[in-house]
Amino acid sequence: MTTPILDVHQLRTWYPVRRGLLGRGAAWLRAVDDVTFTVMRGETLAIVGESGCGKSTLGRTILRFVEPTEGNVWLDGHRITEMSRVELRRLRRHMQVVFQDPASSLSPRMRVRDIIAEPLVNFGLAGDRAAVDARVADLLCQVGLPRSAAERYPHEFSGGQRQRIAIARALAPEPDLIICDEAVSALDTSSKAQIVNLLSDLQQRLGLALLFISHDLAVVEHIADRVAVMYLGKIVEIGERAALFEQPAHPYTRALLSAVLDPSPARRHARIMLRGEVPSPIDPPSGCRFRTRCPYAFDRCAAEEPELRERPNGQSAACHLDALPALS
Amino acid sequence: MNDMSTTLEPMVVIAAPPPQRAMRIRFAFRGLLRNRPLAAGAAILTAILLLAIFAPLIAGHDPRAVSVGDRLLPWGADHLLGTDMLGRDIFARILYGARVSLLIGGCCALLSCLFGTVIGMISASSRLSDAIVMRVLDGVMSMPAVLLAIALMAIAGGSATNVIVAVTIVETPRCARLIRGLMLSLRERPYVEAAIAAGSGQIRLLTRHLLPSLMAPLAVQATFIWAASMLIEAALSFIGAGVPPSTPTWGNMIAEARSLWQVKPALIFVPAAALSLTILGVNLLGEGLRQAFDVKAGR
Amino acid sequence: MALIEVDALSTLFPSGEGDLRAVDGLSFAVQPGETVAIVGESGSGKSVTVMSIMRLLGAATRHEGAVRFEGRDLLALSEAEMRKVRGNRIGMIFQEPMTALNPVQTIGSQIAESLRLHRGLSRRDSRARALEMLSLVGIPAPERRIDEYPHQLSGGMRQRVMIAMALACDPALLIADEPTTALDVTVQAQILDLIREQARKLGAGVILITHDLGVVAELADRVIVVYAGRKVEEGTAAEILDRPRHPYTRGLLEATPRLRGGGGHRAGRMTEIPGNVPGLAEILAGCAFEPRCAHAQPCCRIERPPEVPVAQDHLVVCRRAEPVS
Repeated sequence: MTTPILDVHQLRTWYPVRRGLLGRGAAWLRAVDDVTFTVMRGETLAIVGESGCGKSTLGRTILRFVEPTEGNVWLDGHRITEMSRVELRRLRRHMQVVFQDPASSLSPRMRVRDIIAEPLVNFGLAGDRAAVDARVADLLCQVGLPRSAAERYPHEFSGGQRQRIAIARALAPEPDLIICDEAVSALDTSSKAQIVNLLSDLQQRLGLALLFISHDLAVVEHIADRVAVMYLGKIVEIGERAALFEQPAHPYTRALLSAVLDPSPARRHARIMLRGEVPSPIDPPSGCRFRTRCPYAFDRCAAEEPELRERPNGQSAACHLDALPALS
Repeated sequence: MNDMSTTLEPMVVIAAPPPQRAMRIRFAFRGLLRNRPLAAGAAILTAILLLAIFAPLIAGHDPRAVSVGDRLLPWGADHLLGTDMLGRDIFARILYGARVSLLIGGCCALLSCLFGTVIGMISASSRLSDAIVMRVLDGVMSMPAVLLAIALMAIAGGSATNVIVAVTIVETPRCARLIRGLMLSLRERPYVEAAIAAGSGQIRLLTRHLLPSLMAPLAVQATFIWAASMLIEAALSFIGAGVPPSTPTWGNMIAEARSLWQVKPALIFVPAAALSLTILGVNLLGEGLRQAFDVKAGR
Repeated sequence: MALIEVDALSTLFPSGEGDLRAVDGLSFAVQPGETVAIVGESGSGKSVTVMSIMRLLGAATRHEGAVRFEGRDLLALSEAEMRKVRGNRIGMIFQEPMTALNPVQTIGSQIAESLRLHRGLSRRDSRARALEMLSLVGIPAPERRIDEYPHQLSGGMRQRVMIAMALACDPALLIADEPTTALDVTVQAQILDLIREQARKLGAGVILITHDLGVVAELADRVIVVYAGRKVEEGTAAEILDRPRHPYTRGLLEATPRLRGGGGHRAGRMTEIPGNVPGLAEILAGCAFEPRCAHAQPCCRIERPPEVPVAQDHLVVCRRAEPVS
């Protein structure tokens, strides 16, 4: 639990954007802008934020589906940024991914057996056919699918079952880290709960580390050990789940938490209604990026960008205020 | 209130046991028959293909045998469809003509798709190669197939090979563009990224994940090229720039019948009908394939 | 009198293996000014229900039952008559505003189009009304926005435009199909507030289609829970959310992720509903939920469960429910 499996240091992923008809690379979309964090072995770090905050780009940069503009990522002490394609391919064994939409992340023309066996074959982890079959059956069992599923095609399964197949594939090479990119967001309520439970069971049983990227704070509360909140490419607050959920130190975290709807009429609470929507990451506001929507913004917020500072509760937040005003 | 609480192992319901392989093939076959265009196209083409292959056995006459005494005979028992102005058996010439048409069509489709796929993949592999390859292809595509073929025939003389070369040169860029576009969009699919995460190298990615998805649109494109190349072949033969007149082809037959069609319309109608039927068959096949792949994609 | 009355509606999609029943004998009514939520998971038939009401499904689809709206059966109307209802008497808000809006038409002309069509307004009047609608739904600087295209707007703004379009002709009924599912959480509340406020102003009835019980708690007066195309429970929002009786509704409520706000250890396991939603092709003679139900009895498999009134304005379709005396 004490050594970091993933170490992300000052990571930046900027995309060039064209402006007008001719101007090429005249501006940058700062999808991920100076992000630093670590994930310990066997730990779940959740990255939360709204669409366009850069959380998915962050995940894809760590996986090097997208090349970083600056900064470094270490996986178990190996620097992923800087690695050659061949080295990277070998290292991928230790870092797997589960995507949002299992319908499109599973090859439609491959049978479940071949989908799950693919990493085994690619990384040379299983011997003969019989060994592969046995391992596939074992993996299917681990994710709660019957053995007979191996001979079927993905489209014969429901959304939740398909996500189980995707998880089985991610487990196959016995990785140290699984990046879950909105892995339960596309699922129905009843299968969502099943998959969240499956992921936390597997994590506890296998000692996996999870990077759980999600916009759904209510789900995150069930699975995360620590939480990082992103806004416009930056982490605005990061800390232990309990501290962050009970006493958010950043106004944005507080607003996100208050926006979660609860089905019980008795539990309706005062809501902080944020003004407007997330500004464009192409030209973010000066100073604090959240100031245009922040109910507590003052002069300093426009002039000076707040650094992540540690708070008494243990979490770090990037806000000039030492304590948020009490909720009315 | 709490009696619906946690269950430890998720129970998974699957409706039916997976069908056995033989069953699955039978299901697939029944599915194909339900696809009417596919079944009709395949039936027409199979019939024509069989007639072409077994032409020597079925024809009963040498398609090249000139017999001046038997000129312009009407249809009858000996000459099924009658004879032409040189006394050659029309039925035999139609059968042998089918060989040329199908051969040229098939070769063009195959070669164009093959080269097109390779070029399209090279083009999609990097931004630089994309810029270069695409500009070259634009240039090639701006040439009309028939003109290119005539130029080629003028230099190298008329032969089936040259017709194939000419059509392939013109059709390859179309194929390459299709493949390039598909590759670019496929590469963004999560399942391709998932395969990379699962440790797939470039070759495996190409053969296991990308090519299978390309086969469907490629097969449809191949039928278009097939039909187009048969028409081009007929047109070239008709204007005398195609396969030498000594070889019986449908285009040659139509060309030769030009002066006599008022005397004996069958001389033009029979090869024209054969050509139309074959192209109908190919187009039906293409439509059927498109439908078949669409159904799968829709699921 | 009810604004709209759906009476034993069934929607059947023909297929090679016989008709697939996506909606199976669904009945409900919406009173003027009332918001009724139809809640279910994917495959429950909730979206198909409203598509059937709007007659937006292909010609091959068969309908049974009746949809009485303003004294007429919508299922029996001609296509031309139906066109006069859509967008005029019934406004519709779709889930994905990006695909529901025409990408090559300015938002102003899209709103104005239905006004010219249904109200016979002139170009000028319809534009003025479109401008009015845009400011009504809270779009800043509407004079500038009116000539913009959908891709120039953010997701929340697009959904506001959709609402402006749906409301332009003062409809008597508003249908909102997952109106906030594609939106961010901080924008969701704004849009729900807007729908609630505008419907109240117009006195319109609202049919809300959603899978999210949080949205239901926010907006709905009455709730209909559907499973596999059938109604399993119906009642006031307070009744359903506080005192759910059907095992499926209970499971759904318990499986809905919500903030505990408590500290200490991880919030722990989420409550699951075991199993999966049955496929359309599965023939269910008895209760559709029986294969997943912890309390199923042998007879549940054979016989369709009865509708049992368990409280005033609370109906449960379950054999185990005890009727109110």
